[in-house]
Amino acid sequence: MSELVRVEGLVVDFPVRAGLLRQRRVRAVDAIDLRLGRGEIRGLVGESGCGKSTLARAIVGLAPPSAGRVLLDGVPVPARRPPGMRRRIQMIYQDPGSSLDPRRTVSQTLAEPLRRHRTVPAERIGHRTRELLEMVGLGERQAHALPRELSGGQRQRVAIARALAVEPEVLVADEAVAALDASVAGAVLNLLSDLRERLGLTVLFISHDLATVRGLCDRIAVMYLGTIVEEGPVAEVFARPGHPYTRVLLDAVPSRDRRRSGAMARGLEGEPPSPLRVPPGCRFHPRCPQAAERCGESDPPEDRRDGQRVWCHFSWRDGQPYEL
Amino acid sequence: MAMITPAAVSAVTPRASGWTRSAAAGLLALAILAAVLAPLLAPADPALLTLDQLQPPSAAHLLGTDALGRDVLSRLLFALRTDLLLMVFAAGLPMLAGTLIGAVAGYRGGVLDAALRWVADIFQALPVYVLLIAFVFVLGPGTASLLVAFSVLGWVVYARLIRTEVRRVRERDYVSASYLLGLSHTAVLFRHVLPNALRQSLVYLATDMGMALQGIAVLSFFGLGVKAGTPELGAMVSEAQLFLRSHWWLAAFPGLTIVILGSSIAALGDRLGDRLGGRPVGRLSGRLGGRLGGRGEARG
Repeated sequence: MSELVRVEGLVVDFPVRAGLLRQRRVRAVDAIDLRLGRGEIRGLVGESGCGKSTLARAIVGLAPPSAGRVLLDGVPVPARRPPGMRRRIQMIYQDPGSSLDPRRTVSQTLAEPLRRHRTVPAERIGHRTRELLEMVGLGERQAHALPRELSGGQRQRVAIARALAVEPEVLVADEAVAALDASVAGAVLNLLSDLRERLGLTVLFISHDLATVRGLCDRIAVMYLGTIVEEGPVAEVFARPGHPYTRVLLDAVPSRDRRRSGAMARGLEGEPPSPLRVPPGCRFHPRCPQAAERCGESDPPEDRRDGQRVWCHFSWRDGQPYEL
Repeated sequence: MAMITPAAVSAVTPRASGWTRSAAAGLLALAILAAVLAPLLAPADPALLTLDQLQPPSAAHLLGTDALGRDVLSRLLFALRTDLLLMVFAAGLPMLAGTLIGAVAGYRGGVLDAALRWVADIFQALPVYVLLIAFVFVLGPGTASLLVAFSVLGWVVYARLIRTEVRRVRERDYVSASYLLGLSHTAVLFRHVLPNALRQSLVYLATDMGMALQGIAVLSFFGLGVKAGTPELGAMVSEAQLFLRSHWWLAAFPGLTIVILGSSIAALGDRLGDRLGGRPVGRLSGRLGGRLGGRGEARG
């Protein structure tokens, strides 16, 4: 699988107001490396506020990186991307109520990017619009509807069709099904997986729902407080999670046959620490059930095991009993 | 148990009832029609001086004649023309300027936006009417200075309204999606952000029209508006001052016209506010809101 998107040491800072005149910078994404192979569906999971969305926005070009870079097909993209480059990575948003212009009908929404890029000759725009709608499972009936006349699932399909109109190579889906109810979400997930098959799309699928990620994705990356703590093929990560945080996330998924018990099963205590005060050493250590002294002193090393990478001082060591 | 009356349920009563609005719309339409067709309707040249001075209303001169023997009805019709046209520009130009400034500042943010807020705060603290008069006084009377004065003082409110709305709309996902699809920032702003941010300004424009009409009439009354001799309602009232006791028709008809036009526009502005504001107010506007206001955003 050839590499299509490569994120190298990406840092995204935000200015925040701290006090009356002082401004501080918050590091939402801290030196992240990530690779997306062509035609791969990559899951990105983590708690709210861990920087998933910021990473997504930086990859599509909506959030300017403070350091590091994004490479597309081996070519670094400039900070201000020209339209032709923006076209290649498209985004699907979480809120179907906000992703479509309320004053445009579905066909107007789809025709605009077609016209902008002259993807098809002017007289074929209508035809192409119908084709796109068909591709996402909508029909003539929805073509002249306004967004408010559509259901959430239908709007999300229109948003996908609009992204497909410019023939992108990468689709970044930021919690794209989180706002939909289960059956509709399932249909949209099937659509994404189907589009990957038919169009060879690469998808970065951001979610906090591990069950969904497991069903859809090839590889998964787990984020905690602006960094990736574990990364690897979905099957391996779910079978043998190497990072204690991943294990906590997996245990938080309700299931009939709970795999683990004891300290880990209790779930995570406390709120994720604020990115304004990043703990020293391993970022997870204040909440980690396995934390030892050195976790708070030095950055965790990278540990590899067939295709799976973990950043932890005690990767894959959850066998020992930890009395608290 | 107390009787529950259905009236108690409707907490908000319409500000202008149905027939008032219909009447207002009818009167305004009539005024516009009269203004447009003034050259055809007017029985005489509004500037034609005759020796039939200060005639009371009669068959020959339906609304009488003024001190210079000019036909009052003809002058009234042409004055409608002047006032309505000036009103459109005196309200429209500030809106145009304010919309452009507010939209760019709100969309770009940063220093530009901070500067706009600063300027807007200063303007907010100034007495508009006093400044308006001072402005026209400095620039010299005439339609051009009238419009300049209205624009310089009026754009701030629109800039403020638009800026706030643009900043709200800018955060919507379809805005960044349009940018990603390849549209330039300018195209995104004018095609997707601005159309969705205009509603409140349009409502304000309707109210502002009435203010502009009064402003023009008042300034002309003080001799600071249109050039002397131009048929204009405020100027007509002003010219009639000397004859207020003896020749009532000179001041009464143009004065009445100002009152009727002003209140019609105010009533219609109210109605527009209900329709575009998206709030279901009262029976009538609720029904209309479904047709027009409903075209607006579905808040997720």
